[in-house]
Amino acid sequence: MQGEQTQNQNMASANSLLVADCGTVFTKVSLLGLVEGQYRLMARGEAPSTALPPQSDITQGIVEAIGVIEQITGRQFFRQGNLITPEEESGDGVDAFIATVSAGQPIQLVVLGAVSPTLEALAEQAVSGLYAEIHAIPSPSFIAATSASPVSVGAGQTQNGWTQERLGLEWERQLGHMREILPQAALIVGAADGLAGPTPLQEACQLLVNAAKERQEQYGAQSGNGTPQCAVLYAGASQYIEAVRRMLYGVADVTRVDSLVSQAQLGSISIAVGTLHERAIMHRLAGYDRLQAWSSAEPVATATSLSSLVRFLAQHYAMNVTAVDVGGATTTVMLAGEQGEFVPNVNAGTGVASGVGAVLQQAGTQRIARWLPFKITEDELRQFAINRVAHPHILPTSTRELQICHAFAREAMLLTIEMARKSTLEWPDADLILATGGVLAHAPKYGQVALMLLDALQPRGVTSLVLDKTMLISQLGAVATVAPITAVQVNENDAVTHRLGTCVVPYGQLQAGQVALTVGVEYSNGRQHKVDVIAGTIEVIPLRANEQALLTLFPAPTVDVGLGPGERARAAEEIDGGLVGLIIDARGRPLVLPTEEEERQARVMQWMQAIGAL
Amino acid sequence: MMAYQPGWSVVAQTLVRRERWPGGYKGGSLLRGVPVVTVGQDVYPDQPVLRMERRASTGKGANVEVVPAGMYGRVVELTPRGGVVLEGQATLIRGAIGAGNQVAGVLNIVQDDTLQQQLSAGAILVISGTLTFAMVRQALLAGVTGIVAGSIALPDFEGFLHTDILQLFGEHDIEQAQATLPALTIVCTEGLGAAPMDEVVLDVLRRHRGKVILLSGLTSTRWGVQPELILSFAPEEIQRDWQPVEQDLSLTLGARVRVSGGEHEGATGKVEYLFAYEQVFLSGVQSRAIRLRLDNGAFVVIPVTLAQRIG
Repeated sequence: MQGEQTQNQNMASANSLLVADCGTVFTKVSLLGLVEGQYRLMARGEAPSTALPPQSDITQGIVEAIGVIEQITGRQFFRQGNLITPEEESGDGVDAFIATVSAGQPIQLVVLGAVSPTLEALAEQAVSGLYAEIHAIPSPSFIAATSASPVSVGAGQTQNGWTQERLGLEWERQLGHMREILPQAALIVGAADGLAGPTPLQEACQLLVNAAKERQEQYGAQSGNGTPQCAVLYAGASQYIEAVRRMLYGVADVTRVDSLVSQAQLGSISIAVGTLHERAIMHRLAGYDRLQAWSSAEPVATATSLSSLVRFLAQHYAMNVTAVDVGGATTTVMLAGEQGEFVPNVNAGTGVASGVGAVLQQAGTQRIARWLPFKITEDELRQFAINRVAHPHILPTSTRELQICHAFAREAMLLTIEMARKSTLEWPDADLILATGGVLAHAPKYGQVALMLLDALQPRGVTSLVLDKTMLISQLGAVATVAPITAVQVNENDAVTHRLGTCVVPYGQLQAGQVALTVGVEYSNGRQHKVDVIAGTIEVIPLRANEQALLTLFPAPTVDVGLGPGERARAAEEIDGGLVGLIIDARGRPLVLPTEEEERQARVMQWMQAIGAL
Repeated sequence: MMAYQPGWSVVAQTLVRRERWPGGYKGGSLLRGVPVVTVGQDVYPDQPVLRMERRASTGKGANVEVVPAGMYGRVVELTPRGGVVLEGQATLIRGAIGAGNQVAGVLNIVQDDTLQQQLSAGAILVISGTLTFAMVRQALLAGVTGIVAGSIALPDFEGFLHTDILQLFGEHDIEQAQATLPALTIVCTEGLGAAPMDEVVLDVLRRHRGKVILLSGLTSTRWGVQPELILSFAPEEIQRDWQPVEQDLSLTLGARVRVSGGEHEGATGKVEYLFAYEQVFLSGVQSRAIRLRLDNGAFVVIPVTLAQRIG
């Protein structure tokens, strides 16, 4: 205990930290250190991730990324293959090393038992902020009892519905499904007083027993994906926990969690699944032991780290914050409200590199093509996706490729938001949109980032757009748990410094071709400027990053900017400019693109030109 | 200088350790293997090493096929599902994409890209150019076991497999995913499109003409699995001072690379120059870059992320 306390104290007073984020496609490492009494980002490096074959060692990518930092700083961080810690007088080495991980597959979680649509939705919500994929497999007796023409289970031949043969087929189908998914974890849910009684819970156990037996025959002690036996979380009727443990004795470890009946139990299930993800996925990444040995604190899932920071920002700045992280294989959207509400959504398997295939399959070619200012065939889009999936590290070298990549990024965000909205009735308007992830951070023009965010997130009213060009925010949550001052200072000095601008989005009934909104701008130097913004267009009013101005908005009678249709709005305080400027997006909400192809392409081109995306 | 791609196309000599397993599904049934060799036993390519049987729960118990080793080597392990792990010295060729289970067969180089006179059941054919739908259909009907080609067009590939390859490459259970595919393993060394096989690869294959080789078309972007060919060495071919070739994956001067995207996709060449600073490309993207001298003599500058070291 004393050793741990000493270690924590040491980290809190660390002069230098290396922070690594091990993604599925790229590994990023940042060097944080003291500069004139403030913690700053000093250098960063990036390298392809190496968790998969042929390297099969997650630390190799970290070493390569640190190699870039060594080149930049002239400092040495490794000696004979070992991380030099603490920092030496020469400047070599580092006081602390922290890692966040999003590499590895999402944990496959089957939900078994009396899985009603309500319970399935609750289970999805419980794991929405984790790297997890849920597969609901309601027990055959539950399906039979709750189907449109319910019949008695075990009745033999009946007039309609579920016969014994049909039940048998359903068992086979479910076993086949388990074989296909190879789940690392199972969540058993359901009360015992439903239409089918406690039988669904029994059947859930039996399915796990059958699947485990088959897996044992196939792979021995390891499952097909290299993980040990399925872990079971029991969130069903409490009186049957011992019976479940008896049935699953020797087959699976059973952990009791709160019986899932409402949103109140989501927290404990979320924590339990998060722990399982760490054990079943993270800890089994090739090279994880070495990573753990280097780390000053236990490596954390990247999404968990980002959650902490987003919630902190919402509370600290007393505003609604939407954070979006578009990675190569995962897209994350998180909404944190100033009142403490929090809606995370991690869409594992969806991204702009190895995850681009999933985007194409789920969104379809038309949805992706609609964002492009040129004609494209389905074949070309598929070829693009296949090449990206096969070679996830490649960067776009032509404008065409770049725009296709950005179209995929939009759809990745949209798919994730659609998922999040299923579980959330209210989606408060964001005061601040924080963007991170390689495709956004490395976009050549800030206007491209702004347009992607506006197209995908479709904010309303007045909001600020900020880009995390250093790709640090995903790691600062983890840094904050061990070195909070470092995290706060780096966040303010370096992470959220690329302000794209303030965005005004009128909504309501916008009449095409008519003035939707007149914007009055009064700069700090007294200069005044008035702009009429036509419905269907984007206008960018010059307002640089270090400038401020007072804003007055005069919406058309049927147009709203947050105070009601036609109501004039004057900002109480000056608004900030940004790298793009003051953006007025009068395209309407929800954003509807022209159906006619040529007109749509022309409009998209026009918007790109207006916002500086070309 | 960092590397971006998973492994060389050809590793001239390496120690391979592979489970001999032709896939666990056939005709809708789950299979299990019954080894017919023991740990420590030396095997040769034609030698049967396991029998595949249907599992009792999924059909009537009956022998389905006898599986030859496909390579020279030694049995080092028997797996729980009945597979046999073989270890031996071999040349390893990695493909870009493929489909189909692990198969063994006699390597046959197809002349002039015309199949008709050269089809034989159980063979693994090498086609240096582009594979077409018609060719694979002919080969399948003739009982050919596998094809190694330079490339194949996407519509032909998906048309033959009757599946979306994006979905195929992302499946959880790779083996189960192969169960519904036609019984012909395909490996394309250059990937999709119309690129001919790299001369270095073709040269290696020519030297193994007439020998039994092991071919696997399994491709998974989810699990990082690439298709491959194992061309094992007979004991008399192994030199006394044999050493496995170390794959240097870094991009250094003189490294042989293939361009994996952009305008020069599929082209091969050598690294001529490593830029110290990031370069800006037409897309506006900035990246560390290298200059290549392509095999056709042209010079190009590409982002390092587009360079796949192949030798």
